[in-house]
Parts: sequence; structure tokens; C-alpha cells
Amino acid sequence: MEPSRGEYDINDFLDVLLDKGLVLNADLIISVAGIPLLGVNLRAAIAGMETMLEYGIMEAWDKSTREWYSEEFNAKMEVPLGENETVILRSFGSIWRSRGVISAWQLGFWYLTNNRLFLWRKEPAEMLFEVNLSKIEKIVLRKEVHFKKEREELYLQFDCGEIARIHISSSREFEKAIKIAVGRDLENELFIPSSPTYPNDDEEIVQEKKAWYLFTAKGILNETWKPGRIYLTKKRLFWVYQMDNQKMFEISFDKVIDLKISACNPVPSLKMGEKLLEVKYDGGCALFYAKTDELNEIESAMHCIILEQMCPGIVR
Amino acid sequence: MTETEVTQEGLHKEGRYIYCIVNGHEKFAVRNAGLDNADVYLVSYEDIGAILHACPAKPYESKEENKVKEWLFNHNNIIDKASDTFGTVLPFSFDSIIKGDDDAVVDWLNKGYEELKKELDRLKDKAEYSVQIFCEPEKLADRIMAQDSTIADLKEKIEKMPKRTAYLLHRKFELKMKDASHAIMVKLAEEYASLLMKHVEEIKTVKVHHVPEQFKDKKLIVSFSCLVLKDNVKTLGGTLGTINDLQGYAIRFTGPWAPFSFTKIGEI
Repeated sequence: MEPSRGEYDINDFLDVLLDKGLVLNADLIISVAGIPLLGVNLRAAIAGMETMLEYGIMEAWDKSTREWYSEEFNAKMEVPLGENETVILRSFGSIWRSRGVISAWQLGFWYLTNNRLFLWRKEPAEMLFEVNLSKIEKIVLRKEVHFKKEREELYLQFDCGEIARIHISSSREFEKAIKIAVGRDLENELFIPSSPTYPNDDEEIVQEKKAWYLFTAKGILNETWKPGRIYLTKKRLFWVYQMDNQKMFEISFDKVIDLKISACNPVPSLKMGEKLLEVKYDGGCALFYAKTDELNEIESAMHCIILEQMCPGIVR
Repeated sequence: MTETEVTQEGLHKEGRYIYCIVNGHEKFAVRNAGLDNADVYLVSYEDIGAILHACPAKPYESKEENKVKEWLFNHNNIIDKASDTFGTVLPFSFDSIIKGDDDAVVDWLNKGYEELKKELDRLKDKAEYSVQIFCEPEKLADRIMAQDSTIADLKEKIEKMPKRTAYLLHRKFELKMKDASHAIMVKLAEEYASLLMKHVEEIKTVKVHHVPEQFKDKKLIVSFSCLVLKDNVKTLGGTLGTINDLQGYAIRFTGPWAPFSFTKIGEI
């Protein structure tokens, strides 16, 4: 057969034109596969992100964006306040963060304004936490042990149910001020979960594995993977959050409509193509992440349970 | 306008957009054929040269995809023209600009001479061809079933099951099929690569971003870039033809292109 060189073929070859061929060294040359605007628009359109990154095309863009970003922020290093927003109190403090495997106190300055409560870090400038005062529902001051010393910490609960644990050097003052600024009565009883142990049910646990569970975005929180354990009984699956040992997800097997291990689409903190366990049920889908062989074990155990439920005797 | 005049006119511009490096010093000047109708000409050093046009020392950029496509066509077009005149060229990636005037280019050719010359000689009389091998999905599935009886058994089981149970098992079946078809495609790709090896100087598997309409109903098994000696294109075509004639298979064979995927200097 003869090779063809039609217009369509040339069109396809444009990819190669962008990716391959000689490139110039930066020294005497203003080089240039890496031009921000052109790079982004065109290559995104034609070559796709992957190629861009692979060939370092994004680097220049990335660098210039970062420079722009830091310039912008150096220019207005002051605390980002809204119009008509005034600071009521400001004090050094921190918030307890547990993200994936990392649990730590993030440090910054707590600001209470007439609208918001937020934790601001100056260098590098970042808003570590912020919440509109209208969302605060409960506030509790508790004594906690921090590095063997006792100190006072504030627990806030928001309308989405999430709880924030924060430390402020003048916590009592803040507590009082927050209550005044909110202008509503706040409950000061907060259920701070103690730690039940599993299995505590009368059902027999068929399988138990360490697994991460993808919390959906809720209120002030983005989608996040949380560590914990997955449990299977003859009737249901449930997942227990490592931090407080609470059951955070639970589904009865007769509600499961699909079950599979799939390579992940873009989800936070995981590489494309990593294996996930997808449990689909009417109205939603829960995602779990664990070591691949453990995921497989969970999946096949679930299949067996479900099959056994539907066609008793089929699994020997 | 003569070649010298073209150069004169460009003198005040402080950048040179490079299309490719060529072997030889035949005259080469094309009016209005470069990016944005630029006049394209040759700057020589010894027996090699750079095909270029004068431009401001800043990259070409546009938010309009069509504009950029037009540039890319221009870029490729000039490289084709240069290849017609000089034989195999060293193609540059789009938007490569040297800061400075023609003297800067000469200076740069001087510095890179040995490497460029060596590469030009290595690629002499060779061109890049693209080969994509497609197969009907059913054909692939049949092959998998024939090879792996557990998958065939699973399929049979599913057909006999109640619907909801079958649905879950079907997922399992699909996963198995996916893994198996991946494995078989890797194997086929290796087989084809070794089959084509004797007709090509170099062969690489490449990613494909789009597939033409006529192949949409087929599965792309593998896509190769091949560096091929002019004299071997016919025999390569012959071998591809035999695959193409197999029932359920189809080949897309395009070229010749400048050896974009095979220039080894990387950065100069």
C-alpha cells in the first residue's frame, strides 16, 4: 500500500510538529516551546495536557503564573477584607487539620470580623480557614492536653455538621466576642464523639480492611480522602473514620446496584489510573481507596455476599 | 525581490524564526510563504544552513486556534519545500526563534556545526512515516475468548443468570476483558514492531490524539512512527498491505514527513 499525505493526515501531523523536532537552548535564544498563551490555548486544544507537561511546555507558563501570583500578593499583603468588613479581634492561633495521612496544627492569625472568622497566614499568604459567622451553630470551650500541658481549645460546629477544633491564645476572649458578633444564641453543648470500637454490633464482621473513603464536598470542606476501615457483614458495608471511630458511611447490600474496581478519573490527591473501589447505590456512589490487592479482596468478598443473597447456595 | 533584499529588509528585526536545518547551499528563497506571509530564506554556514524568516524576538502567540493552525501549516509547508530542495532536513519544533540577526544565526550554526552535520548525514535519504494499525473490536474479543477459557465460561454463566446478578458479574467480565485486551494489544504491538523492523531504520510507538472517522468503529492496536530509507518505503508498504488485507484489520499509513520524531540532538 502507498502512504497517504492528505489534508487530514497533515492535520494530524500538527501534533508532532508541536511536540517533536529540534528545540533551541535558552542561552542565545529566546526559545520557545514554552510560551504561556500560545502554549496553553493551542497545545491544550491540539496536544492535550499530558504532552504539555511531558515536554515541559507548561513550566514557563507555570513559572510566570507563580511570579504574577506572588507579585499580586506582595502588593496587597494586608489581610484580605471585604468591603465594610472590620476586624474585631485578632490573635495568634491555629487549627487542627487532618488531611489524609497528615494531621497537624496549622498556624496563623485568627481574625474575627463583623462577618467572618478566619485564620490567615501571612507568609506565604494563604487563607487557611474561613467561615461566615452565620454558619456557626455551636461553640464549646474545652480543656485539652497539648504536648503534655493542658490548654483551652475551642470547638466550633457549623450548619453543615462539620466540627473545627481551634486554638487561640486568647480563647476566652474570642469565645465571648464570637458569641456577640454572631448575635444569636449559640449552643454550647457539642457532641464530641468518643471512640467506640468495632465490631460492636451483633452482626458478624466478614471482612475488615484499611481503606480510604472519599468525603464529598460539604459546606466549607472540599472533597477529601479520609483514612479509616471498611467492614463487611453479611448484610451491609460500613466505613469507620479513623480519627473518631465513627461510622461515616453505611450501605445495605440490597441497595447496591453496581460494584467495580476502576481506574480513577481525576479525583483529589490520586494519580490518574490508580485503582478505586466504586460502590454505586441508588442516588450515589461511594469511592474507596486501598492497596490494590486489598481492594480486590473486598470486592470479591462483596460479590460473594451479594451473590449468596440473591442465589443462595451459588457460592461454595 | 532578490534574496539579498529580503535579508536587507529583515535587518532591523532582531529575531529569526527557524524552520529547519538543511544540508547544502542551493539558493532558497520563498516570498510570502512563511508565518504571516513572511519572506523565507536561507542563511548558510559552510555546507549547511538554516531556513528562516526575520521577525521580532518574541514568540508567535494567538488565542485563536485557527490562526495557530494556519501557522502550523505554514511551518510544515516550508519544511516540505525545503525537503524538496535539500533532501532530508532537521525540522524544528514550532515557534523556535533565535534572538539576533543573520550573523547570530551564522554564529550559532558555527557552534553547532559538527553536531548538526552529523545528524543531517545520519538522517540522509530517510523520512518519517506514521503507521496505525486498527482492528475490529469483535475480532479482538474472539481472539481473547479463544485464548482464555475462563472468560468464555464467565460469559456463558452470565447468559444463564438472573438479570441483576448477571449485571454485577458482567462488570467482572468487562474488567477481565479489558485486562485481556490490553495484554493482547501489547503482544500484537510487539509482533508488528518486529514484523516492520526489517523495513525501517528506527521505530517508535507513539500516542495518538485523534482517529479519523473511517477508523472510528475499530480499535487502535498500536501507532508507530517509523524512520524509513527512501528505498524501503515500497517494501514497508507491501508488508502493511498484507496486514491491511486481513479481514477485520485496517492500516493507516501516512508520510513522508520530515523526521520530527527522530532528530536526536534535542537541544542545540
